[in-house]
Amino acid sequence: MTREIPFRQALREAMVEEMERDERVFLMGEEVGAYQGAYKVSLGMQERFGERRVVDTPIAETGFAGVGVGAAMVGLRPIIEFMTFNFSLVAFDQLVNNAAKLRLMSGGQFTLPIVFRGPGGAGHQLGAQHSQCTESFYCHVPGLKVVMPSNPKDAKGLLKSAIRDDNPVIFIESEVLYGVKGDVPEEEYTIPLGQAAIVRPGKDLTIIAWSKMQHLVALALARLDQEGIDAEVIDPRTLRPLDETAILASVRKTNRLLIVEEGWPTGGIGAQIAYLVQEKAFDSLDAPIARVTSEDVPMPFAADLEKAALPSVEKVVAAARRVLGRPA
Amino acid sequence: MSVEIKMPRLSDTMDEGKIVEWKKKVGDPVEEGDILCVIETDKADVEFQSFYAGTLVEVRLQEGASAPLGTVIAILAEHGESVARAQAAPAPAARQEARPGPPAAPAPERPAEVSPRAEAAPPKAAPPPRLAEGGRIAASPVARKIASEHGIPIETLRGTGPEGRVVRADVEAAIGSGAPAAPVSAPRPQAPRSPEEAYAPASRETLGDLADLSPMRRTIAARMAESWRTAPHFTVTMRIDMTKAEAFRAEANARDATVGLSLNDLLVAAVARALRAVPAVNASFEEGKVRHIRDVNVGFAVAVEDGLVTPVIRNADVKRLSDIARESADLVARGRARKLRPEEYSGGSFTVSNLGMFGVEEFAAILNPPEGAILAVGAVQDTPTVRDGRLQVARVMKATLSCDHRIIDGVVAARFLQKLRELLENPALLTL
Repeated sequence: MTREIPFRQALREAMVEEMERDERVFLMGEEVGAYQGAYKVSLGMQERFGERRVVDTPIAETGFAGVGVGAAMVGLRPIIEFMTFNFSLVAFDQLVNNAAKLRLMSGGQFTLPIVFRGPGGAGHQLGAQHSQCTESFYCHVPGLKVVMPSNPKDAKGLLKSAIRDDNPVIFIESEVLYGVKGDVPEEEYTIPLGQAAIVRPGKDLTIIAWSKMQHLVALALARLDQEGIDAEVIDPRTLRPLDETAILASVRKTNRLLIVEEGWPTGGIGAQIAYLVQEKAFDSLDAPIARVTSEDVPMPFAADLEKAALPSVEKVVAAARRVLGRPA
Repeated sequence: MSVEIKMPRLSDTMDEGKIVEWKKKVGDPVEEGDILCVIETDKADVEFQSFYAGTLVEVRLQEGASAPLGTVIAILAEHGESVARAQAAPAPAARQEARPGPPAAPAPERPAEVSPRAEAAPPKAAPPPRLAEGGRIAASPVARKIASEHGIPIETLRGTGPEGRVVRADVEAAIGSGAPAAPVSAPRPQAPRSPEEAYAPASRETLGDLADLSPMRRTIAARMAESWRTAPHFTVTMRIDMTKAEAFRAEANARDATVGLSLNDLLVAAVARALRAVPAVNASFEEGKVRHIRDVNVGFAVAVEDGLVTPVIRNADVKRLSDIARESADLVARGRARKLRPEEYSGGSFTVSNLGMFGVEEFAAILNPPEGAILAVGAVQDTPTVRDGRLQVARVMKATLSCDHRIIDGVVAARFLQKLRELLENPALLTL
């Protein structure tokens, strides 16, 4: 049995279920308690679990990320919420130097079963410092896992797995997607990390996209269908570790690859995927690998410039045509 | 470990090779240094030695077939590996049918009565695929892989990908048509490429069959076109009285039967000394700069079947005439037998070309890139001439120097010819 619920509710259900299942799990962040969550993801949770398990913090990311790291080291299972992942950059040292590394540096004496979650990427005219995609920074770091769900069902199943995982997990959502509704099973379920979803099978080319970009690709598919382009669409869901098997199998079948990502082009995850595919499936490629990314600029504030800076249906369709060797 | 043996670069201007003969067959043991096959390059037939020891388990390119550099031509199982495992790659039945006959000549097999009008629209023979930078055929990795698995030389395919890239669909179409070396047999429903073809695609077909160029011819075509296109040629002609030179040669051969001095040898010696005297002609234009070549290395054109080679006599300005004679005889013989080594036909600073043996009076040669000049000589003929105010018959040869005007001017060319004439008209100077 499934019911249609919004993304934010799916996330909330995941946290509530895990907190009921395991009393070591707790939530901490700015406005998560009394305010009911900056985006209402944690609505009602402080009433249910109390102030010891749903903890409001001052505006001090390094501080509360560090408190989370410490709590994880002594046996608790924290969920640390960043109001947006732009602010995780303030806590970057805690994430990269502590959360990612302490288990390995301590020879396994400490485990860090911690989840850092929150929205990332552009909203509407939030400006350069509040529109960043940070997943490429975190995917670069050994010791971290990075997960980005695109729909409510994946969000709930993946967040539950992330909370149960004994490793630090960076779990990036999108404020633009919080209101998106989707079918979510009523009975309990989890989705394993590191497993991609074949959203739509196809034969002409493989399109890989995650988070918000899945929705953009869904819009572009209508145009691609009109042009007789039968695209296979993959949602990696976990960006580190990547489901290489699924990606390579798809490219071996279609021989052409287009990656659509919201982040900047230089050294992004799309570049990493392209490297992997040319390294391991070189002889299957019928065309160079294409990417659609945001323009290589800090996000402008003006609405029309923001629109021009972000990926669009036009850019996706043009790139798909290019990969198929069709004239622009 | 199985090793892929790939078409090697056996000459610096080679971009594809043809298997003339396999010296090993499937199942034969191979030691390091053993000759695997003889490969025809654009210049000579070269014996290809194995760098590996093992057993030859698969031959991918048959005798008579050509392939670009880097194409897998055979598979070797290194010692210790199970031969069966190395051969385990699936061999689809289509591969057997698809093994081409000599792919260099697909056209002659087509029946001449095929009505050109019925298949008028598509061009009959695929133009060669685009050469990407470095001279490689532009083809996608999967297209190359499938083509190689089916023994189809990729250069026989036309590419429908961007900028003429050969893509998977092109290879599959060629396999599907059943005659991979002659994709012409699959009618391609495409619009004609040019107004000429649209109005008269049939008429050229009836003139004669299109045939592939041999590797040597392809190279000559590319180099001569590039030379003509990039170097501004001008020519300067001079008559040279060869009376004394002919006498000198006759006397030398009479007195020493072993020396075998030819007119060409005298030309090479004279040219070499003239280059030393006018060194501006011993130069090349390279990437916007002029290279003054230290040594005088004189190449001379030798006709071979379907083309020519230009063996080089190094340091010809300091060699004795007898050395030049001996060396040139050897180079000519081996050049005609396509047995020259790469170092014997490269590194020239100047070229001499002689059509005198055909009675040609005068001609202008095209520069041999990147050389700055080339000398073309005609036949030595009885010619009326005026000497000391009286009409006489002299043995005259016309020499035409073609030069790259970017680095050589008319006056320099004239001085070179003056010096050349001086040396040939006073051949004793060649013995100094």
